[in-house]
Amino acid sequence: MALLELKHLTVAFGKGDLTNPAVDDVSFAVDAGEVMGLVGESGSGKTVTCRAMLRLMPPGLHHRISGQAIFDGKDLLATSERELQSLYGKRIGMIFQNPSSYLDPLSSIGQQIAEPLIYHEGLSRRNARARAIELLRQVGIPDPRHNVDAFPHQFSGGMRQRAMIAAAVACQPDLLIADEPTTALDVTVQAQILRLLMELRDRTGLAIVLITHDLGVIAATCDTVAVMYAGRIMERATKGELIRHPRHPYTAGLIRSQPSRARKGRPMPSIEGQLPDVNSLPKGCRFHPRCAYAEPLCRTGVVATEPVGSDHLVACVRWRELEFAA
Amino acid sequence: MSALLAIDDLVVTYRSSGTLSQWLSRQAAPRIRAVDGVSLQLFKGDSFGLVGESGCGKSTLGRAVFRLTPAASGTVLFDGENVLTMSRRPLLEFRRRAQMVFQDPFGSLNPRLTVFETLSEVLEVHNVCPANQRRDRVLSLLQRVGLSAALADRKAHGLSGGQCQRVGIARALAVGAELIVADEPISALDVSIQAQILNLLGELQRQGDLTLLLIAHDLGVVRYLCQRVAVMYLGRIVEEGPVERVFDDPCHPYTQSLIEAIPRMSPDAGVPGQSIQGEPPNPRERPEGCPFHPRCPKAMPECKSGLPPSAREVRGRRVWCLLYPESTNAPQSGTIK
Repeated sequence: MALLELKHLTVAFGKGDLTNPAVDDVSFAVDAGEVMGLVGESGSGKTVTCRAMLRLMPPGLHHRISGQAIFDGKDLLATSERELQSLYGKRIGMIFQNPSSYLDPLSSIGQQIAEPLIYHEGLSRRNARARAIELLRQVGIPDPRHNVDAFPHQFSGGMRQRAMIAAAVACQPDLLIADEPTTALDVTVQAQILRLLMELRDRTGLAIVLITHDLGVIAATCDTVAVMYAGRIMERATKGELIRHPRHPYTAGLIRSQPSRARKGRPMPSIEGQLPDVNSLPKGCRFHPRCAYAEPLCRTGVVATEPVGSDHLVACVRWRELEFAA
Repeated sequence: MSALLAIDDLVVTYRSSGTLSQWLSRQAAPRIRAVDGVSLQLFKGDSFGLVGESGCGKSTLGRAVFRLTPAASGTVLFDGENVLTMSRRPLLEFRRRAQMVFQDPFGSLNPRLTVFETLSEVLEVHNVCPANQRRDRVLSLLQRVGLSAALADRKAHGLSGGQCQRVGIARALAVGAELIVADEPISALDVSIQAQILNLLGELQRQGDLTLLLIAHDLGVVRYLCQRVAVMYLGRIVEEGPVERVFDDPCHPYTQSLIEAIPRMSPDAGVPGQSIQGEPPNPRERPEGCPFHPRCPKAMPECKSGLPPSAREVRGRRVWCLLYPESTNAPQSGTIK
């Protein structure tokens, strides 16, 4: 059984049209030890999906959620707040793009890593501090004995992200939700952080949901990938299958428009048009206004998600006819 | 042939805010050398990439060329004239012939002006065409950058990021700029939109005699658009040459690590290698000797002291690294042609 199974998650905002919600019928599953990439452009709903699934939507924002998020047999969307508190930080860890806005500027790094250990595992302050030093060493912070007493502002961006990873994995969670963990970092530091996440996975069997807009990061780390566009999953497959044989025109377009794949002196393949606005999402397939292969059925019909092979799902009316060279 | 833009030994310093104890003891705060003796030459029609990690001084260099940030020393010759010492009138003329495109598509447009007003303002300031022709001129500019005329009366908040960036490029073209310095023009845009802007820049460059200085951290973008590239680290150039040579066969250990760290878009890619340790340094703490030696996997004792290494000519490009023998005839500034 999958560690996390998201079934038909739908999120509609405030006055949003319930028949055309911002996040529409998103389903995926993550096994223990699996790294799943959720890739999409800005506004595609990847962050909202993860926040809604964890019931971490910003307070005061009017929204309706339906569907199920089953983590180890329990539906996160139906359990009590108290139960969620006992899961977060213990069995589910989270890291975000901008560590400085999630780290408390007034407590030391060591205190913030020790907090979940004291809360969930009942460690004494002294023992928690010793564990914090050990964790800092594991995530590659130099001189952890000294840096355990440092404050976030004394750390560089990469070190803050390492510290946040240390706090997120302090209680050895089963699942880590990583929302654009390397987007704000330089490429040499990004390589170090990705390597660290993969080492943690190999050592502890951690499952990771990696949210990113960067297909290069996906190719480097993920086992499976879900491609989101305008609030819907367009395609889901194993990494190799997705990059070698994309079946959805959007996935194929994304792969082709990577600058590293472009041939010099020739126009770069691009996807014309722009991302739709959340308040006026297109009917039918949400990609149809930008799709070179759109036909009348795409504009009105319901797009079913169909299996292409054993580990490959695609939400495109025309997938049987279309072939894309990788 | 003389270069269109020749930067020679340019130094840009910032005053650091200093520490509390420095302030209390009334010590002058140290100055940070953001750009530390950079020399570059761009010929007409060149497209030149400047790459490096955050804080390496690449944006400061671009800004200093336009005197948006004052330079401490060095020269910036544009068509033979030193921009840094120009008086008001030639400076205005320089700014007509050279234009900058910025990273933040929204921040670089005046939110109170419509697209039409933004573009006609430039035409007016530089007196490009008579007032009664401005409307036609603006519409033809919009067409040239692929925007529909219907957008002319919108303000920045009514446009998407990609559209704003097109307006930014149209503004640079409005005055018939010969040199465009584009500072991370696509890094704020989504992947599917990035390709559109890159195509636009590439097309404009091929069409006319446009000279492009592209400042970017994305090596794929530079490889696609540029013929030559310079890699910057901590305010200095460490390697410079034709794009294919530098990226396919990097000589400087920093360029090698940078290229190795990029995640590959291939189905069998693994996590990128990690020959480089540590993080980009703080320009306040500039090491002795080669600026890269604290992170360099190949550092030797002689890298750690003295002056930064001089340029060496290696396999058709210039490298500032002690691993390579000093060539007797390597030009210390200027370009290998």
